[in-house]
Amino acid sequence: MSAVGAKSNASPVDRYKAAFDARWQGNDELTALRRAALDQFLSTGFPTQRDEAWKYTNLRRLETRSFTPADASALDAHQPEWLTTTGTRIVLVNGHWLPALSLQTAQPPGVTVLTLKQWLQREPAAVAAYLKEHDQLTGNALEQLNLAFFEDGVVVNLADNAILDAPIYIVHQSTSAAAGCMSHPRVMVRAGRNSRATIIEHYLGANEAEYFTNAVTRLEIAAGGAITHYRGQREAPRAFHIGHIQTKLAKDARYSIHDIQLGASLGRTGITALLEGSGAHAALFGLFTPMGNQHLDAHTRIDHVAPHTTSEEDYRGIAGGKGRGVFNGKIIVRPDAQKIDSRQSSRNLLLSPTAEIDTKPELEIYANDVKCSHGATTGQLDATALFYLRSRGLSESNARALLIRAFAESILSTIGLEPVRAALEKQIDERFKLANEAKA
Amino acid sequence: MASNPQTDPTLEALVAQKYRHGFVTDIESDTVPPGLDEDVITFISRKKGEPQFMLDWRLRSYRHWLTMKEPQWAHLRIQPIDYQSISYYSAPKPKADAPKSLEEVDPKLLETYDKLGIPLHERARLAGVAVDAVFDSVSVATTFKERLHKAGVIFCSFSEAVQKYPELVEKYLGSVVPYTDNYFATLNSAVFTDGSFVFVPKGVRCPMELSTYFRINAAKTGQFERTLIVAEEGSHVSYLEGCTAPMRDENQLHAAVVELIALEGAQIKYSTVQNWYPGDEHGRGGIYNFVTKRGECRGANSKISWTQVETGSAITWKYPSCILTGDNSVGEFYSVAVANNYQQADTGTKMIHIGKNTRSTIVSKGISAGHGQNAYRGLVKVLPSAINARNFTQCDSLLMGDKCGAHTFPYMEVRTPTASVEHEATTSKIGDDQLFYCLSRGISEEDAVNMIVNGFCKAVFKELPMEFAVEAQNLLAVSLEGSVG
Amino acid sequence: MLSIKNLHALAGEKQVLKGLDLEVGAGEVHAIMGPNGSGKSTLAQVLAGREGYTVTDGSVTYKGKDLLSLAPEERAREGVFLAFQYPVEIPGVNNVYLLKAGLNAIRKHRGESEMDAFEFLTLVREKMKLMQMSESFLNRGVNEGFSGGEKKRNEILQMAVLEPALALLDETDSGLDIDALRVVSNGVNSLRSPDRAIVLVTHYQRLLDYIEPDHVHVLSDGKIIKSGDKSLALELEKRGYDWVKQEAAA
Repeated sequence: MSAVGAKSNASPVDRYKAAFDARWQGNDELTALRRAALDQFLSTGFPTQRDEAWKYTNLRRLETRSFTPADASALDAHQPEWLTTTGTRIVLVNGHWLPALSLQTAQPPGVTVLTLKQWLQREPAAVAAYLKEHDQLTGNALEQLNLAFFEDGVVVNLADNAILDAPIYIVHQSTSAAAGCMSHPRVMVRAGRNSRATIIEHYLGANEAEYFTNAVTRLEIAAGGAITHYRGQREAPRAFHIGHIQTKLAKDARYSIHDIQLGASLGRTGITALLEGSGAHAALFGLFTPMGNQHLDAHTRIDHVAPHTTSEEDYRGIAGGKGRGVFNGKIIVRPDAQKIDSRQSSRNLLLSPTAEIDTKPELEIYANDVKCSHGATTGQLDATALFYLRSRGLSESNARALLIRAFAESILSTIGLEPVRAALEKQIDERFKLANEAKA
Repeated sequence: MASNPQTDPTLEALVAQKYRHGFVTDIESDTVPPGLDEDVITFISRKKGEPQFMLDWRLRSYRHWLTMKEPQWAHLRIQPIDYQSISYYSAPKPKADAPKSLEEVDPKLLETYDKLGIPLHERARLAGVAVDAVFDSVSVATTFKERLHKAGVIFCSFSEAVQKYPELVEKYLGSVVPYTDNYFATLNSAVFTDGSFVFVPKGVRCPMELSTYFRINAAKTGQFERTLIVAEEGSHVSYLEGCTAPMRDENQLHAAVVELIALEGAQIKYSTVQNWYPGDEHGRGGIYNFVTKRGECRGANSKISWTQVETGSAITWKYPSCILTGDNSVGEFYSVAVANNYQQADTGTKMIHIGKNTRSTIVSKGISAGHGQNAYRGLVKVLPSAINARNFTQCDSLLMGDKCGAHTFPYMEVRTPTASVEHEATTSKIGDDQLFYCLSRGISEEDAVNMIVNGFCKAVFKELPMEFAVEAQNLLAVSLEGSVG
Repeated sequence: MLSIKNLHALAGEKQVLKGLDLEVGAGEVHAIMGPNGSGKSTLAQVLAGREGYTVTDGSVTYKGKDLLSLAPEERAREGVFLAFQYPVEIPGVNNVYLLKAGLNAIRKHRGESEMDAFEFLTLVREKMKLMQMSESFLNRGVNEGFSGGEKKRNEILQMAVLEPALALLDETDSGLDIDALRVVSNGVNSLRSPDRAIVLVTHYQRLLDYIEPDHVHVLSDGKIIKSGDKSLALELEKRGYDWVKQEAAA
């Protein structure tokens, strides 16, 4: 908590204002936009538990810290492993692009991948226009905070019919130099008509630092386009991580996200999918595993704006130790959005008497020709299955780890990209074997 | 080919079906001027000849209420309520003093209950149901007192209980719904005028169904009744309430509180058929039904079961709940809620699991038609002490017409690994293939819709006492006539 | 009794029936056979009045009336019965209740008095015996949790109770084992009478071993391309459908 020091008496909003003024002066269009966003954040402050969307996640602890904008640094000696993928890799360290670590492969025609800083340098007016259109006065206080403080990120542009076979791998690495710092990375993806791509976002940290990542991802998928989005969150144990993902889908567009939360002290992903064109389909898959004192929150919102749109959602939570998991998924069917098919499932596993899972699956339906359903369960490992495995010679801890893995498998199996799935399977196995041995 | 049901003119005409209980009884009543202050509360308490502890409790509640803020709801459109324009006490003016038997009850009142189809008189004897009737704010008659008395069951108006059994009232009143609970419960605690009181002593199985009919008659009054049911160890009781109100253009407030207490091994079954005036087809008038109902399974192996059929009211806001304190106790909630025209229903339950091996079941069936908005809002909370707790929730919504809404907001908070909590919900319209199947067997479209809707609600209706299950089905048919979508 | 002339119909937006002609007289049993996709089920649905099927040309006359102008429930009340290929489940609606409501609606239409509960149950029990169904069927929801065979038996039970003048059986034999097939066939045979017509829509000849048809028609590409007596069905069983198609094309 290096940066807390003398300023800790100031109110949290004042501290953010001071940090802003130290970083940005001037009156250009972008700075004005940042300032407006900051003012909006300052006027509302951090959401509280009175806010229905934050009912189960208390941000008091985050609010009392004062974080200053992070700078780039060299990597630590001990690094978590990155995925081995083909194709482009972009590495952001503490929110800043590090070209030396990135791998830029030649892109197929119609595909442009830039860092946000590069785009800002080349076309500041275009960036401002984009942000004005997509971000100004929308979203919650923390998204506004990102807009006020963002410095770098990734911009992906896919022209109509552009097909990208290799995934774009974005590493958000936090180092021990990030202690007391915050970063506000942005990823923006614009997918043209009938284009295809896979985006991997990987948030990593493995140090003792307390830092704050407040990430925004925006995707726009034009008619017939398809984006597969993997999002892995393995921040350092004391980190705060809040992610905001918003995807807009035009006619016949397809989007699937695989949202895996393993790390951070307090982590939350908020995903909004707007199905704006008929035939659009969104699939949301998620896994969150709060252990120790972790608090992990998955907050999703699927908005069927247009008729003839479909969605599916499957989230699983596994809570052990004193971990607390939250799932809040809302499905909205707008007036006159007829012929909607939507399924949602939330299944949760409680491994210890001090863990907690709070689930809130919601349906808000304003059209009648719909088929919407949700199911939610919370329980423990199946005692019969556990007994069966033990009677076949497995140790209790192994049997438990196996069943936990099986429970997680239905989410992991939705991951089509082999290196991503293999890495996650390994991490889940390590996590729960350890947890069970510690318990015994 | 069948005509498109959405534009069938005969069906359109049927939608215009009028509220059948919307008459006003011309009766002299004793009403205090509108407004609320400590004098009015003292007046109510004095008028009812209450002991000091009641007045103190009312004033405590009132003073607390003044510090509270009216709740704001994201999902309800609501006209602001002017609490000073409501009259907090309206009693039918008695010919002499209080009626001592049914024969002395104003015949006009009895006629009113006849029109409502309430078995208050001889028919009550045939039906074998003991009835307490609350007209505006005052209980007017309780039947079958003798027989109940022999069994040791106390069933009387709340006013009478305050007079005759003050120690029971003092012991249990506010013990499940404290006077600080919420805005409307606190208001009720300050101003409630009457209601029903039931006490079933240890080991007694109440020999008949108990029933209360509530009716709001006078204009510009609110109804604030209070019901308290105590079932001692090993006792059983089944209680039913029914509600109606005349058609009036302005909104009227109904803010009741119901408290149930089940001691060890006791069972309480509480059924409601709520048919307050829902307002007209343009959403004018209707009752604001803001009710706090809560039961506590205080003893081990006790059981509280709520069944409700909510077809009336402009706005319904109620969450009959169970606090499952005793080990092995059981809570149940079965609900059918209808929102037609401009009705808004926001209803559900809370199941709070505290004791070991506690079990709860929630079955909610919401039907939305016209411009109606129907929301299920429910909480299942399992505390760390509730080892092996079980919950199952089934929550289905049926949409009839393309202007209505159906919303499901379940909250599940689980803090013990041995618990099992399951929630399932579906939202859909009546299946075209189901409708066609019935038509092809010669059944008219209206009958087919009724059949399918009743089938949809069956899991709830079967929980109602026999004679009311039929009433509930008819009520449902009337509420939805013509709303085929 | 039933006269279909030059019937053209769409299933959704697809032209399925392309000029079908069929005459069915009282007391006759007709079997309509044909390969998958030939339009057999569409014909049954169009005759019962299902939404989503549009008649674009031709006429259907039933007992002198324009059948196509009647709503599905009116057709039922006039004595047309369709045994569904896939009977729908209607949760919570009692099987016996549906049957009674249907029967009384039809009786009322005919100017007959409604049956009281006692008469009705006597009738249903008698028919159930015929279909070898247990009493428990009565109290279950309509087709709710029924096996495929139970659903089909239930269809024929309904037919036996409602006593239609024209019965259309859409693939009633599909999914039945040999015992169930025998029971269902017995049920159908018991309904054969001089004033009742039965139209069997089927893919296989197997059913016709049990219910002997007076006439057999081959439906292909939305038209009847060959008609004959029951020997035609046997020939189809042996030789398949292709030779009929080639013959028709020639």
